[in-house]
Amino acid sequence: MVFNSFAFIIFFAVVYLLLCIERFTTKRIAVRNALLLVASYVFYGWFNVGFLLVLLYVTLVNYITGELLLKGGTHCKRTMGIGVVLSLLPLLCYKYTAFIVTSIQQLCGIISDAEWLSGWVMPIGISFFTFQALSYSIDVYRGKITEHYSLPDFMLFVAFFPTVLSGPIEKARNLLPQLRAYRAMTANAFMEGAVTFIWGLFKKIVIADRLCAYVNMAYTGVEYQSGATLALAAILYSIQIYCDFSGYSDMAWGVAKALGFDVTRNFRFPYFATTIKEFWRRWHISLTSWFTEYVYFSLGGNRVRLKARWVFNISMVFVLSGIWHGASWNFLLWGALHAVYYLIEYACGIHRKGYETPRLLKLPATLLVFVLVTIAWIFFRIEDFSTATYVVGKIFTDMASPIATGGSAFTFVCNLFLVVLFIAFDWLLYRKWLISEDNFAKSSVMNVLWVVVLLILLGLFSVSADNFVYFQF
Amino acid sequence: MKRIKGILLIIIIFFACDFAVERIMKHGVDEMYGLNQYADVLLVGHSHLMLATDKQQMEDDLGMKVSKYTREGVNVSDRKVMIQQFLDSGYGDSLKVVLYGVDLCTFTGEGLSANSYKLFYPFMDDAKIGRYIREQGSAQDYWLHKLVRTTRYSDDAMKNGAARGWLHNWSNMKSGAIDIEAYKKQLAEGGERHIEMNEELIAEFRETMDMLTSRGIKVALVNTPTLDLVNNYEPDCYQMVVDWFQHYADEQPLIEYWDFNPEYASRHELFFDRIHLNVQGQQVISPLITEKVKSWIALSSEQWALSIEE
Repeated sequence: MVFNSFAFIIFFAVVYLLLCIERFTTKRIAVRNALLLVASYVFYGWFNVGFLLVLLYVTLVNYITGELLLKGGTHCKRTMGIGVVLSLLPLLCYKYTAFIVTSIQQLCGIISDAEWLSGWVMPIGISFFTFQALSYSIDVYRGKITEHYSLPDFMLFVAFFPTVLSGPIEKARNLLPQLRAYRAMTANAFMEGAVTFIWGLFKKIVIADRLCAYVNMAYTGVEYQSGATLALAAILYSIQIYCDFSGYSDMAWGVAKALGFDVTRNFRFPYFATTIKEFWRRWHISLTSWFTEYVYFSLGGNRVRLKARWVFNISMVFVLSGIWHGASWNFLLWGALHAVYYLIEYACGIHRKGYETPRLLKLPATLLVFVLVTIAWIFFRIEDFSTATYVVGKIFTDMASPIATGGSAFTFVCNLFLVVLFIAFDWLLYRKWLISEDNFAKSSVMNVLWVVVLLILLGLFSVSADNFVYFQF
Repeated sequence: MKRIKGILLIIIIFFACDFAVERIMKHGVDEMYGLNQYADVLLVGHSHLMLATDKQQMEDDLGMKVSKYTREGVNVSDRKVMIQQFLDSGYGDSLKVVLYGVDLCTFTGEGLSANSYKLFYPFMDDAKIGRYIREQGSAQDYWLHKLVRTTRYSDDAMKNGAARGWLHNWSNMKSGAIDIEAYKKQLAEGGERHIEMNEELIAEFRETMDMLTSRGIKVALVNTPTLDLVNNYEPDCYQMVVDWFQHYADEQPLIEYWDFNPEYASRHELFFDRIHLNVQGQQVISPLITEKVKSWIALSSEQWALSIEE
């Protein structure tokens, strides 16, 4: 079940109604959590009942690991190690086996298409819920969580339906305490959640899904496209992937909020960043934060004696976050490219304490970051390295060529108009002139109009696509 | 309480705006298809006829109102609904001639869009159209479009139609010409639709013709040119379809069959793609159709005058 489906509207209405009834009758956290747990398993099992087994396995492994660690003893490190390995096992099997096997075969010169792997269907969101569950056992190991949680509460934490498919990857110490407290489901929270959901829906089905068609057209047979067309496709892909993923995250945030829960904001206007470092503080925040806390700090972070070791730590985080997206060289390259950007910025002194981009340079810096990120997205989008480099080369050598409009000139114009409108909305939100969680209480006539405009645009321009780009990860 | 009032306010404003935007779009669509005017001539068909005819030029030359209700991908069933819609609209009384687009694939079930009923969303307030949509699509789709009126225009073709209607722009914008070599390659790979004579579609077609002729409306079955390479792809089947139309028209006093293929199918420079004419093609074919309509109407008037005298 995806958020932008009719089935979800019915599902959510039923869940919300049941929670309201619970609120006016039993008022017991256990009953509310049981309801949410059943709802979450139905939501996730909607795709494939078999996926529930993987979800349950990851949940149990981390719960047992956490319980053993909470008991204490002399083998904590070993318990933690085994727990991590067992947790990552399904992820490694589903996501990386084919890559590892084919890479080894290529290295050894063995010709085989690893056909036995073709029937494997990867459970949706496996990377997300595995990392979410791992945050619990690691936090227990590090002593950041000292309380015992019941198995049903933990199961709900891992399977919580607003976040299970594509995050945000919630840390246990943020979400688990919320599951223990009685959270009010107010009209205010519902409204705030609904508005954020509508904004996410707009980004997904009006912007991302419309741009997807153009990008697919341009990247199918790149040799027939002009440099200008490929450049436009690259820009539109940057917007598409942002709208697709942040749209989903906003919808997840909105659903959780309406139910009375606060989950992490996964995106904070990343394309308005003036440095790559800032970009990563704004893009997929929950994953960046996960890698920073559980990988970067584990490697020693910046508290290392050798600069080379710090460079290694930083590079490792970026490369791992690239590989997290999938077992493919293009994702690795994408991560490595961002590591290079980051280190160049560091070498230029941009990361030194107290540095702020001069006012006059803010716009050029923002544009430069956008261009660099867009180039990296080309390697992310196109699996084949030689095709990706061909595209980059053609963009820089064939810019003065006509732009293809795709199937319909009218659709092309509509899409450009919507992109401009989206940038304007995003900028207004960035400047806090429209509703955001910080100023929601100050809703004004402008905000009411904004919501109405979004709804009208949804009616007029939405296209239906069930898939989210980040589901595959 | 304040929040609940806020939610209600948003809902009220939304439905008011939704209605207003829908009215604006609907006016554009009606203008585009000539559904809000008394017309003497009605063109019905899909993109084939759409790109072959110049409504403005026809109106100027005939000195009559022409409604061009042609839409991408509409099949025989859709066309029946379109004609019924026009006749029931209150503007159908003045109708003298219907130009009905036909081609080699008129009775081929597959190939045209299976969800072309969605093109009728703007007109779903009409009871008959509403029923048609309800029968063709899902209940969920139907009620969504019934309640949220702007969703009736979510297809870009509808928005394009509305915009062009407001701008009074009926021009053919297909300026390129077909790449014959590439198309020959495609043909060699077998990438062409097969011609069929689907009995259900034939029955629908006959019903449509009866509906028009029973009201005394003349019908010209207009076969605007399709590329000779397409026509020769399955030559026997093609000839069978052409013969069927000719034979059918010969049997009906109010129906004629106009085929522009023998003369123009080999003029490759007139084609944007294998079945659609480009601007140049339209400039050649549209005046010919107009001329035929003019002489047909004139002839009818003379016959009518003669019958009065007798």
